[in-house]
Amino acid sequence: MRHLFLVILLFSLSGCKFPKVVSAFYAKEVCSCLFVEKQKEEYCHEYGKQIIPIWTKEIDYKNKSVKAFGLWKSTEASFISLRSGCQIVK
Amino acid sequence: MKTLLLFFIIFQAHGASHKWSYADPSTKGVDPVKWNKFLEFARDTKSGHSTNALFIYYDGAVIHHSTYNGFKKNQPHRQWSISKSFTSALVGIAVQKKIIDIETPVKKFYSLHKNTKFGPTLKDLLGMSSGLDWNEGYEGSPLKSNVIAMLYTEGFNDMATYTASRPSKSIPGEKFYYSSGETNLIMGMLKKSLGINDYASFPWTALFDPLGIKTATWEKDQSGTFVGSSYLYMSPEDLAKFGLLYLKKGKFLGKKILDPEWVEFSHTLAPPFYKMKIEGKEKVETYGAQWWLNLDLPGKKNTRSYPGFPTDAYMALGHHGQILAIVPSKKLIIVRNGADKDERLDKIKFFKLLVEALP
Repeated sequence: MRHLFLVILLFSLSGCKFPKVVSAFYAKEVCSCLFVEKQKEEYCHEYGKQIIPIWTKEIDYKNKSVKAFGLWKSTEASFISLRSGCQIVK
Repeated sequence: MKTLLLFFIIFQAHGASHKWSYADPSTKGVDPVKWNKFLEFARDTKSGHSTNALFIYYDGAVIHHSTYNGFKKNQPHRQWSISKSFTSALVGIAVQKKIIDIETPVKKFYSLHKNTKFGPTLKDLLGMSSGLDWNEGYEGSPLKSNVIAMLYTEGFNDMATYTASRPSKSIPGEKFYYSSGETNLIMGMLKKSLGINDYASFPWTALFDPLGIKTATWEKDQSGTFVGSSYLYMSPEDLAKFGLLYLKKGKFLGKKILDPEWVEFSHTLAPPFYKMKIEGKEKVETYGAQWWLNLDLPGKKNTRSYPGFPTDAYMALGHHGQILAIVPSKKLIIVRNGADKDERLDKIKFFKLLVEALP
């Protein structure tokens, strides 16, 4: 019953802009955590965790970017420069 | 003579660098038992809060500088809403350079919502009283939160435009409502006043370089506006240099960076607090120009936010427990960086225990 409720809730949310928050928060804040604050991946993953978890993530250390996917939405954040840090790019 | 000349040229090119004096707390008359009680509380991991760094400057010297949880002293730390007080400083510098005036209406640079009868000014934004409808909820109310929509969904590409497009809810300058959008609107006005090229280097040329701040990163949105509300990073020690600038009333190494009048304005109660009707036991925290204050509200039965902390204290406070507090009467600067994701630091207790340890 709880799972059914969650599925209905997730479907009802998929039409509004809120679902984007899940991937956007993770991608942006984990990018800043790794490439600006220079924290460890485990710490940054914990920092980016929310009530609704992301489904997949992809961290590209060479190009300094983080992609996240959750609630049917994906977001990519990239490190721009030392002064400008990270930014949501897609 | 040639060496002296060379030294002079290097000195001129790079400016003087700031060196902190360090002292043992006991040499400053700090009570050792009460001091340990304060440190135990600040570092206590069982309380749920998580302190990453603590930097205390008292009476002319650093009496404590420690980091925890693997965090290094020169590592940049996210400062969240402490960024707002830096935004205020940049406006202060722009005002003294006559780049912008605080009476400038927002509509000079940004289109407002069609229902807006009375447009706010830069001064209204500084005092968080634009009257624009806003919900500053974070993780607790993500569906209704404008700050989350601004940072991550509807507004992330141009946060100032997103904020300006919010409908009007009250007359500007009449009601205080803390809004991260207003700070980003300030940053947008600053960008349009300076021009994009001068603006991009302005935080460094006007503030970070003169203070010797080397670890700063300030993230921008896609329109090139610094996220003045939230996205500034620097080491705790560099943050303390900003505190020292305010403790010294705008001077750093004897050189004026900020007008003392701007420093005073920054921690003067914002105009809406004299107009707001405060009901019953409603608790209202006091605010200046992008700085939190610790004042008892004039003519109202409303005691200050931190009862055990002096009334002249003013603070830059950020999400997850970031603190920069300046207490002129105690010659005190407090920097605390943390990651209080599970439980918030009890700031009333934190400030009280610290002040009780001082002579």
